[in-house]
Amino acid sequence: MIVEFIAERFNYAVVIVLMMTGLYVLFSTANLVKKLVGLTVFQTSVFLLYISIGKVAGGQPPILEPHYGDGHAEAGYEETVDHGGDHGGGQTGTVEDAAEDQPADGHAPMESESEADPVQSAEAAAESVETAGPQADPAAGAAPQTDDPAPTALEADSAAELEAGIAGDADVPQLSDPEPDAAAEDIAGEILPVEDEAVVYSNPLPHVLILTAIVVGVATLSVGLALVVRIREVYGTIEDDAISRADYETMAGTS
Amino acid sequence: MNEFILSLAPGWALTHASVLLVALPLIAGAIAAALPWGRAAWGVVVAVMAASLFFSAILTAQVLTGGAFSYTLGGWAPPVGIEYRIDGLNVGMLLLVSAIGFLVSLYAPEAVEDEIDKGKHPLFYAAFLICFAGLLGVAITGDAFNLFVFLEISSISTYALVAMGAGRDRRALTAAYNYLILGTIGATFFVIGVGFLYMATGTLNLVDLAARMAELGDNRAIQVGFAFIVIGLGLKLAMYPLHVWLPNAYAFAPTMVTAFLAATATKVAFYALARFLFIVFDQGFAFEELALVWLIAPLGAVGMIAASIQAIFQTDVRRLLAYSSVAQVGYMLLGLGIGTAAGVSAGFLHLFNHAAMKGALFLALGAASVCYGVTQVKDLRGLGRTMPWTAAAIAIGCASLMGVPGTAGFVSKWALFNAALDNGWYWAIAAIAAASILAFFYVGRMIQMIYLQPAPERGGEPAPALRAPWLVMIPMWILAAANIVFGWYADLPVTLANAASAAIWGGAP
Repeated sequence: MIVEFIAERFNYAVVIVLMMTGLYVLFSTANLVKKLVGLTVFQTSVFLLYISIGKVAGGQPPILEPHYGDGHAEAGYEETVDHGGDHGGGQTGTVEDAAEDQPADGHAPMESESEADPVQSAEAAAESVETAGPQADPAAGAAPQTDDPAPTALEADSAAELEAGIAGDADVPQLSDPEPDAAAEDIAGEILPVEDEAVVYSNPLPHVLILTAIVVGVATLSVGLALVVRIREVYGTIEDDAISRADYETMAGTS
Repeated sequence: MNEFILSLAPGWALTHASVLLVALPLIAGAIAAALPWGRAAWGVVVAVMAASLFFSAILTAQVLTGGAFSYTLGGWAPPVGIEYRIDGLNVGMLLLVSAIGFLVSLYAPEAVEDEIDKGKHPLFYAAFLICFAGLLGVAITGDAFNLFVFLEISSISTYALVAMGAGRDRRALTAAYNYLILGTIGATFFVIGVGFLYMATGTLNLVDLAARMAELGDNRAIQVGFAFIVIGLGLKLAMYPLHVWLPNAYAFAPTMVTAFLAATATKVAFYALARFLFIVFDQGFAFEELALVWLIAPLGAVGMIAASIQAIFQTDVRRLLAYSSVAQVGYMLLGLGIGTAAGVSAGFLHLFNHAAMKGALFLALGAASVCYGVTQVKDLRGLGRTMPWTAAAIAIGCASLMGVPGTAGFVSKWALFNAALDNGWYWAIAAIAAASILAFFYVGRMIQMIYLQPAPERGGEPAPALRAPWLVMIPMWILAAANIVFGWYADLPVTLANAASAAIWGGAP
């Protein structure tokens, strides 16, 4: 029971463990560099939290399909809908083509809205994934859905994502990778919807936010390390208690 | 007055003032860093500060005459794009930050010459400009994640600025380091909270967030987000038990940085907290009222008293005033905790007045530090004779800090007193009175040293009377005079504070 409960929320469990580890290191060590390491671990847990929010069940990396037109997402969308209607039997070919062509140049912004009810579809997808097990990716993809992270959709998201993660063919860092690598291509090939060609993307916004947050984190870490270097130059130590002792001695000396 | 400012402004400034306000100091920061001479970088700083003050005045006039408006960046309409939203709540902050920035930058060359290595002057000014841009960005933005980024822009540059005090006292380094650790924890808590709100609503635009959360009603994700945001911003604004980074950072930073930070940095975080508490989170949420009555107001009251007691026992004069700052933040939080229009208005009024008091006090102490190397309370001995003008400015600031009638501090404490009385919060009134009496003790120590002790002898002769340089005197006395003027004609701060509460509860700004 409890194992299942945790396994369904594996990402969030990892986030909590990392967050607490980071804070514990931060507050328990007296070494200034180790404190910064703890701080970085703490921040990293937040990156993971955001990436988990952005995952959509069965969604592929948010990279525009090349055959959707030259970067005009909306026009391209209509075009492919027509295409699907004309060639009723040719979808599998299109899907394969898409998977092959994907790495080429499709980095245009995409339209993330759709009429489908996000909550329902996401739940349906999650259920199908759960019942059919890790091999159910095509089934999950078959349900048209949006990436709008409505509160109930989220739980379904994480559940479906977990299945995928355990199966080992899609983990979070891969999905956040802007360069479509072999694994991501695989997923794209598997889960591209067969009926209406509505492609499901993961929500790209958290990725972008976290890219910014990573930059902020790196800046903080570098300023922190620079301060530690200066402290080492002036005090000759990077242990917190030794620094306090030195300060106390100078204070006692001057007054 | 408003019409006069608007008539002065050219057309492009009327439309783009809000974005220029943030972009200009950010770009100028890069330019200042590349300049080889400190004086040239200072020229850039003063020019940018004057321009920013002008832009803020335009925005204030626009809001006070025409109400709230928003500027969409890149033409992407909100909630998809990022918007800068200027309303009664933040326009006062913009004006405050740019006015203090301008006055402090006038004071800069004397102090910076005295305290910082010559080669580092351009970098110091660059960090100052970036910090300034970050604070304005926090105040102006209408996007939750954008707010986090600006909060970190200002904080990271602040860590560097505080550490530059190492030339005088090496403890500036450890102060900056501790500030970095706690400040980053605060910002990360804030961003976790924003993540939870995004989970619940799928939007980051503050107006949109408010609308969607009101629709959704109470749920666990929103509650958790609320808790993280309050704690995160509480760290940034030095809410009482989360204030430990502040005293050392203020005591060991370069004097100019202390004056700027004391008057602006915690205030901007306070503004952000007010916006989240009252505008973003629906006031109908049950947990919100609980937080105001059981967390914000009591912590404010405890902070007022505990930090004032700690201030009494300080020997370093800037550390003493830093603890007093924590206590004053307590007054403002109490105003928020009262949770009525009168309470929030009083909180913001105290915010503006406190900026004037602490700005004047820290600038005056900076002047005393430049001329006589004053850092400890006992160093203030005889300052009334050796530096009469500076000592008078300190005395005015101290009187305002205690809340002597006829000073700005009295006006805001009186407003707070009335707001608490309307609510029937007699314990809050008792706390305000107790904290004011405690303020008398720590302020009294300074005044007693300044006026009742003989000046120390230097080389067998009494120390000569010195006048601080004009560029130090002018900003110091503008702020000191503001404490007196706002004590009698409180029009400007009262208008801005009422605009702030009107932005929350409606009504004419």
